[in-house]
Amino acid sequence: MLPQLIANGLVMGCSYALVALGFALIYNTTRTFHFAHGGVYVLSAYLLYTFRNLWGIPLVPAAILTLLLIAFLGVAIDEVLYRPLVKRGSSQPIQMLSSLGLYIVIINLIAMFYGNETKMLSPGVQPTYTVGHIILARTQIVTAVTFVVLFVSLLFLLRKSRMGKTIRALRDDPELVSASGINARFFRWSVFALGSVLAGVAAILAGLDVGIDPNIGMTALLSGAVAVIIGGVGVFEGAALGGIALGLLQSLAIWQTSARWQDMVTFVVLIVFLLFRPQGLFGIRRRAEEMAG
Amino acid sequence: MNGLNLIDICAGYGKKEVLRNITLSVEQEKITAIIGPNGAGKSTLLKVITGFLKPTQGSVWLDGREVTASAPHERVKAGVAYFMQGGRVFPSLTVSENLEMGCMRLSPDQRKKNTATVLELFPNLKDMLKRRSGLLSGGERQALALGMVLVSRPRYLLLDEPSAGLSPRLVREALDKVEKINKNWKLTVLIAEQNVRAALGIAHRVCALANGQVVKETEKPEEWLSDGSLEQLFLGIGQGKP
Repeated sequence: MLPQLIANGLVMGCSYALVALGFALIYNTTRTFHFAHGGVYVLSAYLLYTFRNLWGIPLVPAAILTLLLIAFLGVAIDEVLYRPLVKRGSSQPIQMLSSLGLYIVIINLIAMFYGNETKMLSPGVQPTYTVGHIILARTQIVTAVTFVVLFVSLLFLLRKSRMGKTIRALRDDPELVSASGINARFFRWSVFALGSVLAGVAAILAGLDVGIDPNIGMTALLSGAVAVIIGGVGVFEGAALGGIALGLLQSLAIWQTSARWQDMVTFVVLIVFLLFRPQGLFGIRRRAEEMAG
Repeated sequence: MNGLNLIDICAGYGKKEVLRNITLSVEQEKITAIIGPNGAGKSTLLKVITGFLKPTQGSVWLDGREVTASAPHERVKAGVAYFMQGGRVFPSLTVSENLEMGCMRLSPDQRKKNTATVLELFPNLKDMLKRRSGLLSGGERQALALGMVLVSRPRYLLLDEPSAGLSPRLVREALDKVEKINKNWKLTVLIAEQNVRAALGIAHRVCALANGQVVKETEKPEEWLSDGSLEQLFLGIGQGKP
């Protein structure tokens, strides 16, 4: 039973890690606590449901169309909501509240149009694969593989490409990026688009695995945000490893207790980290001069 | 209208007007210093020229082209480099990556060539290319910040308080570099500086700002050091005399 739970936990962690990577990309770069990331997550799942289940578009084109629209939505949220607030000099709590407000609007609109009941994106029984004592559904394997591919690609993008260096520079000082002759706004758009796509991929895979309802976004967002704190704010790879650690812990909690205590595990972990290791597992303690500069 | 010209500029933050009807021509290939007491509007003037602050009135011209509505990154492409107050660098990037950011829009060959030139100018940076710039000392960081603006080989160099936070020896070194670059690269330099004596020492022309207006100009800065103009400007001594 333990190997199966570990495998399940790892897959669940991969899903959290995708959300966390998107959230971390946006938060670490723009310092925006993007509550609406949860709304983007839910909307992705419902867009796929509309394209595939209601309009009959095959899965792959429907998923691509969903991700394109969700990338555009991410940029639109920044342009319509955050940018005017930043320009007006609004404080972080104001931005957070606005973001939470947008999340609630998205969730309510979805509930209004689609109803509150759970919908299956992939009706019927999924094929399963057995390795030793572990049984995994096809979507679980696709989730794990997708995470590994996206994580490695993202790391390469951030560490080696000029785009990645610019995104890291944007995190340090957006004004200086502009003063270096780079269109900072374009790169900010890219960050919101990419972060939203990562949430979209996670939502599509989770939706295909366990179905969707309008409330899946908050759990995903909180797990992603806690994963970022576990891994260390400001460390992109930390967010992914934090997500996997959280998935494993939740799965092991089921082994000892029951599934309904999963969320409690998330918040106990959050409190423990905030109290005893606020910089997370991989966070770097910076010098005071660096923080000021 | 060649060079850098400001015509009847008014600008400020919200309802607070900081610059009032400023008209200024920056002479090409010369060093122009903007001096004035705290709050005179020196940094605001540079922000208007670089596009970080939109004027409420007036226009900014660069080589005969109006750039008042251009974004900051477009002005950099037009040849304007801006050294921001405090010698800002990207602390999480290495020294080498910081220099790369300064010339990212250039071709790889040009980047390599320009970086080599900057490293000749600041040889101490050569040994710390792999070091995260957040770990540099104040002087090293100032050198890197200057290197970052020069690595794009601009035609106009705008410096906002390059001596801030530096020891007197480092101030002299930094301004010597600026003077050398102006001579060797035929670079037009506009420097906003509170360290007036240091600025007057290298400037060909000086404009004094007070309350957001140009109150005095000279092409013989050395005279200001002896004729009491500075005391008048900074302390108000002598004002109202017949």
